[in-house]
Amino acid sequence: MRHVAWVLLFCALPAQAYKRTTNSAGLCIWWRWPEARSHTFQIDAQGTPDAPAAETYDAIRKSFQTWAAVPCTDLVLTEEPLSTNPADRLIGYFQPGTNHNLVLFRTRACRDPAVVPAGDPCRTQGGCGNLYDCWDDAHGSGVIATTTTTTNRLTGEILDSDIELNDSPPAAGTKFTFTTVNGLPCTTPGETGCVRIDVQNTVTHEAGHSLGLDHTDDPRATMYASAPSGQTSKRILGTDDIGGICTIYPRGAQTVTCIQATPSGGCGCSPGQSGPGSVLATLAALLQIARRSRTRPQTAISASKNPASKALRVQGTRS
Amino acid sequence: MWLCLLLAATVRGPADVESLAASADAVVHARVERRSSAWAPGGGQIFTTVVLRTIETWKGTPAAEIAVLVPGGEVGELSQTVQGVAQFGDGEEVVVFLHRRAPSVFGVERLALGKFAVGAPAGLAKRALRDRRGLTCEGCKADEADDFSLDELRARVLGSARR
Repeated sequence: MRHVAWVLLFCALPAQAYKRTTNSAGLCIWWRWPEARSHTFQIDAQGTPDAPAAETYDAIRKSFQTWAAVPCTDLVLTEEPLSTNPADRLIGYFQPGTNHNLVLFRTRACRDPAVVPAGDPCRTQGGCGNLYDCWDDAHGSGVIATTTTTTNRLTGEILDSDIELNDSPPAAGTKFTFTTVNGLPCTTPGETGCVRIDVQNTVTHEAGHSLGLDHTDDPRATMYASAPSGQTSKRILGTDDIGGICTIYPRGAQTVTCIQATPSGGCGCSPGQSGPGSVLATLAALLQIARRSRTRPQTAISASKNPASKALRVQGTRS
Repeated sequence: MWLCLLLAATVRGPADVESLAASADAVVHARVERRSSAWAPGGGQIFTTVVLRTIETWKGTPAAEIAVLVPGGEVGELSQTVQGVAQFGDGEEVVVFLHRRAPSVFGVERLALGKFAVGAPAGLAKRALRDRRGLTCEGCKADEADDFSLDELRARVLGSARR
């Protein structure tokens, strides 16, 4: 009966439920910490010229702490000292080397020949962003932020995660303006004291990705994939987000991974597969606590193939 | 140890066909010829070069064979996946909105919003589908379509280019 309950919990709710990010091997991704769930992040001290540094740092801190404040998880998100060395403004995973989960703003455009020489190999091979500390237009115009998360392909274990925000001058139009104020969305170009691209709104969403969550179909969730300019509602997690984070990292129980397939092959975390809905999130966490195994380092669930879910996506259906 | 790198992205809209066509340096209907991934200079990040064979050019004057650079890929024991970036499969038929990075190399406009996969069930007209999973869009319009007949998409791009 308990197994049936889990099947129902994870599979019976087709829509408006969190999704876990999967890697190229189809495994959901998750953090492993040596002892307690103590995850670190680091803010690059340069911040953004759009907002006071202290307010920017505070917005980023709040973004991470929002996830740590969820009662049904025991995530601890600890800030490392501000990164002040320009040479450390690097995105990606480096071996050997010390990797930090960095949040930084890029204020120069790699597209600018004054920043990256026209004949530089990075223009054809990539990597201009790290080499010249600029926003790489390999992402295309109009990209506001990216999160880079490094995982072990065979286990899904996350090893490093970096968030990069585009504060560079665009090829055309106006630069993205990041704000940290509380208020209404801006309605005119020169308006001040209003919200444009809210740092906390953006980073809270990106932090969810860095913890292993994908986009959800629930428009009330922080992990919903659409955000109008001036939005601040993603600063606060929805019940769907809480269901997701607590299922991956349930308080007092093992982290749920996708390393091993279960005999049923039913439920899992492949792309497009729905997890428990918000109403059931707490129940799911409690069930996990009740059934947790202290002998296994992680709880594994299988990756699933949900043809119905995939079919919806192929047809381009979205909220 | 096998590793992969995932990125999530936030993109500014709108991303309707006309807006994309206006901002793109080139728009082509093409087929994927081959792909190759390599570490970027300086390390840390992997990029994949996707070589496209043009079926028809809808905007711009790109060559018959186009190199498109996209973040992510796999090299040796490391794999780098960019969430929100356009994904390409070998032999895939696509419509892509491109910006020029270098004289012979392009990037895809606005990550996955700049790529449509082309295909058709047996006996039916070809359709062009866009997958915007993995992207957060600030300012995208609610009525932005992701599913067109290929003919309609072509007409809209060509119509936009004429304006």
